[in-house]
Amino acid sequence: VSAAGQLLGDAGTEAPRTEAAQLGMWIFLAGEMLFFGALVVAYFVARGHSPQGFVAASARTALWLGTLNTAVLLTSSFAVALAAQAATADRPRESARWLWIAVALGLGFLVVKGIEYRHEWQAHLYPGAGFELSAIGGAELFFAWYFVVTGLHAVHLGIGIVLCAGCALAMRWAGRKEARLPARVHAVALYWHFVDIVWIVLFPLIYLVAPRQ
Amino acid sequence: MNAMAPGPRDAEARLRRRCAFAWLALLGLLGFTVGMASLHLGAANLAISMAVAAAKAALVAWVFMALSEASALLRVTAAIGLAALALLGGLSAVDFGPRRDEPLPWQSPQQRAPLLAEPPPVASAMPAVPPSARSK
Repeated sequence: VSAAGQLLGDAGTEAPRTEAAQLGMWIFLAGEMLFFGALVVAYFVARGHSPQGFVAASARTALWLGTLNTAVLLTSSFAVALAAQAATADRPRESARWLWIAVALGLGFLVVKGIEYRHEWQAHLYPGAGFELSAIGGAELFFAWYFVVTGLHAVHLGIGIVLCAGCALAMRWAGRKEARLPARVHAVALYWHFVDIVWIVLFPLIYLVAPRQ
Repeated sequence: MNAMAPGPRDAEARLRRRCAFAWLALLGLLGFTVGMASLHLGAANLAISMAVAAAKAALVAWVFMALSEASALLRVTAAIGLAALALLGGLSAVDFGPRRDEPLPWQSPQQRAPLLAEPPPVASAMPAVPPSARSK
């Protein structure tokens, strides 16, 4: 079998299959990089035009909830990395356990994000009529960007939670009988880590625009 | 057989340790960047927080996404994604960055006021095209 054949998993062994799954996921993630990258570029352009508005708006975000969520997501990535290693080592039950921990942490992230949204709703920090900081140019733009980008991130995280839960269930039921599962876990792990990286980039853009008191 | 050669369990233990160190380093960097947020350093605040974010993203990519163990094919694919992002992002920034703020048609004067100190020249400054010229 040629090198290309092995790459596509024709050799029937685990390593080429995992490599092929990871290659497919990396190509998908390259597109996702451009998707979120466009939003980050838009942020810097808007911030360059309205620096005062971005400073005033960022000061109204909940730094400690954001910090807590970052720690939660970093820990979930650690759990998913261990799940992928356990899958490679042919320990499906352990892999499923780590995946469930990641699912729980992902759900925790969404709950904290929901609490944050609630605070912002009550403080009239959503764009539109009655916006709290309407007198400061650019503040409304900041919060419009904030809700779009954190909403898109939450959707991606929700997809990751479903994928991780699906892998964990499959690991539990099929376990060693299903030879494709380790490759699937590795691909899902790459997706999860990417969602983590997106949040790592968003965190300073949202919460650390201005020095905090 | 070499009795000293590391087995698969040693290799796995090494990978687990590496992941644990990366996780601790990530939490440490998070604490550092939040701590720095209370210091008034001007433009350096942004530079430091983005540098820390880049370090954290690199740690996740290198250790958790296992790029350190990946084949050249996977590394090049990841690098191409990043390079395309840098190229298109840079080109977009030099296009949109220097543009001046223009009001949108749906924005009310109250919405425009904080953004624009004085209204921009209206569209009537454009030379009117006679209907006869348009039909040609």
